[in-house]
Amino acid sequence: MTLNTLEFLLQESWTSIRRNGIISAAAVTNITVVLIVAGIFVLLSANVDFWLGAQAKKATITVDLAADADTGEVEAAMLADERVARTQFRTKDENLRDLFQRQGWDLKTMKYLDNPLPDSLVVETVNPEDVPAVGQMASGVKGVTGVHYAQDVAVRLLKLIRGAKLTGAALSMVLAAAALVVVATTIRLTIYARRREIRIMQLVGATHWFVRLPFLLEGVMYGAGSGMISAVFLLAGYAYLDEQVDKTLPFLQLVFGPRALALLGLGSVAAGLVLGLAGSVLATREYLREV
Amino acid sequence: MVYLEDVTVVYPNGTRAVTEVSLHIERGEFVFIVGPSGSGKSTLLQLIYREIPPTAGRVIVASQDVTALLGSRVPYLRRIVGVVFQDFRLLPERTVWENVGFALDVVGASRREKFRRVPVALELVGLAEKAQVYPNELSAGEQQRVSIARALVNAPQVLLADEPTGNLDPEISWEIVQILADIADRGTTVIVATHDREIVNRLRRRVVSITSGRIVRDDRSGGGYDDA
Repeated sequence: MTLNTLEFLLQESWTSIRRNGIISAAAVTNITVVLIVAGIFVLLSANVDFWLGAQAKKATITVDLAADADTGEVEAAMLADERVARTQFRTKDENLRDLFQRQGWDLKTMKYLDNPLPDSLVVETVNPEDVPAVGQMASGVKGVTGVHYAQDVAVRLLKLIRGAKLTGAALSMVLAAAALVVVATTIRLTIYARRREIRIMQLVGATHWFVRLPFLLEGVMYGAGSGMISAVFLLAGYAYLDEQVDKTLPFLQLVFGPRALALLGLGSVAAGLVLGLAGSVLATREYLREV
Repeated sequence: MVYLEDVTVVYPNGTRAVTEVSLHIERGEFVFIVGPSGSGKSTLLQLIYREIPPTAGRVIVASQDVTALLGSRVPYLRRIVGVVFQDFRLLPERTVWENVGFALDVVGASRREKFRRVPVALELVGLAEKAQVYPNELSAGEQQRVSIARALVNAPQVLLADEPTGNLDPEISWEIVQILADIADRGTTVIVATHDREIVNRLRRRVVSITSGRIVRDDRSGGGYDDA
């Protein structure tokens, strides 16, 4: 590709963006809104994961076994449930040692005690929010005498948050689809406005890709522009929020490292590019042949 | 340079535009294709620049069988086949120079090449001094000359003209035809579809007469429009 060609292509794209004026602005605004909304949800879930994830993910269930229980059978019953990730058998002696260690008692005195603790299984679930349900299931298994787990607030909260995340993802998808349509329509208008030019290009021997490229570039420019605008909004808004949280809720820590912020900015631009390009690919595939 | 062998074109709606046409045109030849409106003149040209494929028969242009040319190869055919239309098809927001240069831009030519070739093409059609003018500031004849320059700037082997004088008055038409004849004399094969009797009768070059999609006369000796 010669320098002249590159200049020609960029100029073609830029000219049509300028000529489209208001419609171009609408496309950019639309993508920007999508990116900001999506960005907010990403930030929200990143922070929630950060706050709750560590505790909730540690959530396990301890299942006490009857003295005459068939350990293998109980273990098999637990593993048969697909919510269960793994189980670990602990003898009553190990449990006693744990208890002593937790309480800070002298381990030497352990042997003078008739161990009152049962053998147990430590059950880990795939999803932390399944802990209560699995616990309930476990209490029904033959040979199980007791079930303990942290009825943690975090576990319940996590369930709630997951719902919110799904809603956010769905909303972002719907908005993204709308933005896609707007971009495609904008570029369709460009194609229509330039149909004479396109016809001439085809007549004098421009390849299909050469004809198509300015329109793809137009979409990419919309996307890149929107990505940058939304990155600025998101970063500025988040920085402000971080400051406020520091002042009013000093015990709360936001995810706010240079890496996270760079990721947010780049992610926003990348998502914008993808949306812009996808819209223009759609438009050129549909309408370029009709010219 | 251009060979049509038993070419038939039937449009999807069933219209038979061209029926079993065979035509051989040599390098550097100048040929008029004449006939009433709807006789199939334009279709014949469209076959050559591969706007449409033949329903049956074969089309060969510059030793290339374009009968079943892949869509992705069509642009490369268009670079050796220039086309001129009745309505000029110029871009109004570009100057004469830019309109001609446009044909080089879209085939990926370098800036240097553009600056070398555009003036030559404009010189050839006698518009060198109007390079910076916009099409709407030109007369119809001048606009047609710009479109000829644009078709020529890629140095095509074949130049097709579909009713190039349809919008021009007789004197200007004659000028345009002389330019086209001149181009043929320089070695480019020129095929002109027209129903302009006057230019055909005056130039006395090969005339292919077509009626209802069939060639009814091929006068290689340089006939007139209506010679039987």
